[in-house]
Amino acid sequence: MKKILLVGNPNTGKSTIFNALTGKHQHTGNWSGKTVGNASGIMRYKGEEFEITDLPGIYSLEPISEDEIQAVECLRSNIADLIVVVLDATCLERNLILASDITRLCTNVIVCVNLIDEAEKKGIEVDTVKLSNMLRVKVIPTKARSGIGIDLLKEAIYTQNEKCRCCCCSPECIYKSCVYSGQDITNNRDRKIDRILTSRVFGIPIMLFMLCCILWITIWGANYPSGILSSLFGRIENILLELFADMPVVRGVLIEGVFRTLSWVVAVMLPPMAIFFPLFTILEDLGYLPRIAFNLDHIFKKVNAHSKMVLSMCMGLGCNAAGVISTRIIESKKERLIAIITNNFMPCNGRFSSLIMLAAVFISGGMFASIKVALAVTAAILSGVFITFMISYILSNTILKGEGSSFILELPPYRAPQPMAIIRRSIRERIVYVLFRAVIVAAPAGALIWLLQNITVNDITLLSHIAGFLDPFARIMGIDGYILTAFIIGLPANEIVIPIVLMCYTGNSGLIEFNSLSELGMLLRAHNWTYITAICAMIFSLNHFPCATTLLTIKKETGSIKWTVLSFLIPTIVGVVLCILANAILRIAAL
Amino acid sequence: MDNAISLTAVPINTAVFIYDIKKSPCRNRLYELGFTKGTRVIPLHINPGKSAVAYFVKGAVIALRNSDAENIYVMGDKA
Repeated sequence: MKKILLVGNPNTGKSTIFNALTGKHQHTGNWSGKTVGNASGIMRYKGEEFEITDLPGIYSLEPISEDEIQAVECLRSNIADLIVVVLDATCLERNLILASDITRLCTNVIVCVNLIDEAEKKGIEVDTVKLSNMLRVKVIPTKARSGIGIDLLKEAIYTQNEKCRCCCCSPECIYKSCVYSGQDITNNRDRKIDRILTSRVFGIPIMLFMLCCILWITIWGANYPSGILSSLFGRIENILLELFADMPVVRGVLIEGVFRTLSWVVAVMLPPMAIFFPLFTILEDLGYLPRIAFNLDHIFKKVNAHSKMVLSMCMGLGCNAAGVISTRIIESKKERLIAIITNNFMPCNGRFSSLIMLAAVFISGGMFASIKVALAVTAAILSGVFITFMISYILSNTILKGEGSSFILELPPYRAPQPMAIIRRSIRERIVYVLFRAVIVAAPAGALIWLLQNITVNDITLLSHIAGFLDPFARIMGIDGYILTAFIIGLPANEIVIPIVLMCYTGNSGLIEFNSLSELGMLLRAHNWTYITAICAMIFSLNHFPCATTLLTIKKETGSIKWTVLSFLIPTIVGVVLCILANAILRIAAL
Repeated sequence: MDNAISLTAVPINTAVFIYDIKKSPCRNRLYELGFTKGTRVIPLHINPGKSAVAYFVKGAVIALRNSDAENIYVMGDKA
């Protein structure tokens, strides 16, 4: 099977082309450094199979950051039969430098000029025939997002056998002869948008407003599916309970334990995740994330951290393990470690649903309930950002002392998101993934909880023993032993923390039906929760050890047990200290 | 040359040409992003904290922190 590598500058659409060629669903996004690892897939064309590998973007053959080192190593190892260089038609002046370097290094090359439609819109014309003559390789123009030119590219890959002769023109010379650019550089659409989104007055307020809006849509939108799912699961549970009426242990472990926990995860945790994720992906596809880094650069400069950390923090909002992997784009090792250790202060999707629920405890219903909850969760996320800054500052001045950092980042053109692709991706990555995790993690946890609730030692259940043991300490932190137990049992996945808390409280009373997350909050109030309990639980949810998957990822990425242990300890210590402080302050204030 | 100024001193939307880049840890990164001698650069946006500027260079928009852009010397026309 022929091996084919996709190479090119960052954000030229390599992953989109990869997906079009192989039918796979590699992540795509509108920013430099979205792809940080190799991905392989099989392309079938006219009865033949080709192995296509999508590499992280590189600017030159002298790599600097981790993802680039990996890509260049792969390119230089000569394992490929054919290299497809993907170029961004809107940015050929720079892209051609890499293309001509690669034609000098490798003998079998095809050039694919992607985003040709975007270039046309900007008034840039590319003479691909002339380009082919000068580079002495096949040149295929494509519009990968709409699939145009993909068949030509497949045909070119299929028929390619000639060894190309080295091109002798300089990239500048090729650019001047093949590209006509009539674009308005300083006043085109992107510049007008950027003048608002990165402006001194509006830049940061717009950012906060967008965050709050997304959270509000998520919270408001999640109520409805949550209500439907819970009543559906309630009905199914009743049927199942009757079915297994004769077998108390099976009924207990499987229905009251496993099934009930699964239904909590799906009914309470899944809807906010399934709504937040596509909204966030829209921002990502638009190209807004690098602008956030640009807007906040001065703060990162003050705390001696890299502004590209914004990108890994944003990825962390989806999943901390993904956030940790995405730190590969940060060139300096020390700054990368700071980004890895602090990533957990961004609440991942799983914790994010917990925060919504917890905020609902002290915000009673009413007209603006969802807006108030959105504001509370925004505040929680912002406090996570603030703690990230503080910890970065402390780390960069103590154990990770280093030279002042640099900030170099491409601001990509704004691109219209593709709604269908986003919906498909959300279903695949959120709904399927969460359901999968629910089965893998929540099912055994549910069984465990049931056993702990039903095995008694000295007439007290095991769960009460554990919770009772943790209770005195948890009380100092403003929460109770059950909540702390739930956090500990929730180590494999944050999604199950709140379901476990609910399981502990609702023990033998069956699944509670509810119509909105606020109503569920009321349930907790019935179990002696006050606003102090909720705030402390929110603080601990935001600041505690990363989930097991994230810890394993940190171990893999840093290759060091020391940094993994620190990534566990730092957020936990911060969480415990903040909870104790918040509890003390709120209690004194309440007197 | 005497009339070369630092890139950070160039007003927004003014095209200038790179004359030299001082040695600094990020020089290689700047080179491969297209900040090479003789290249036209146009400052486009200043960020809210005034710590970085977005520049047009070789078809792309690149944000640079001022402490990095300071090392780039430019002139009003091609040397």
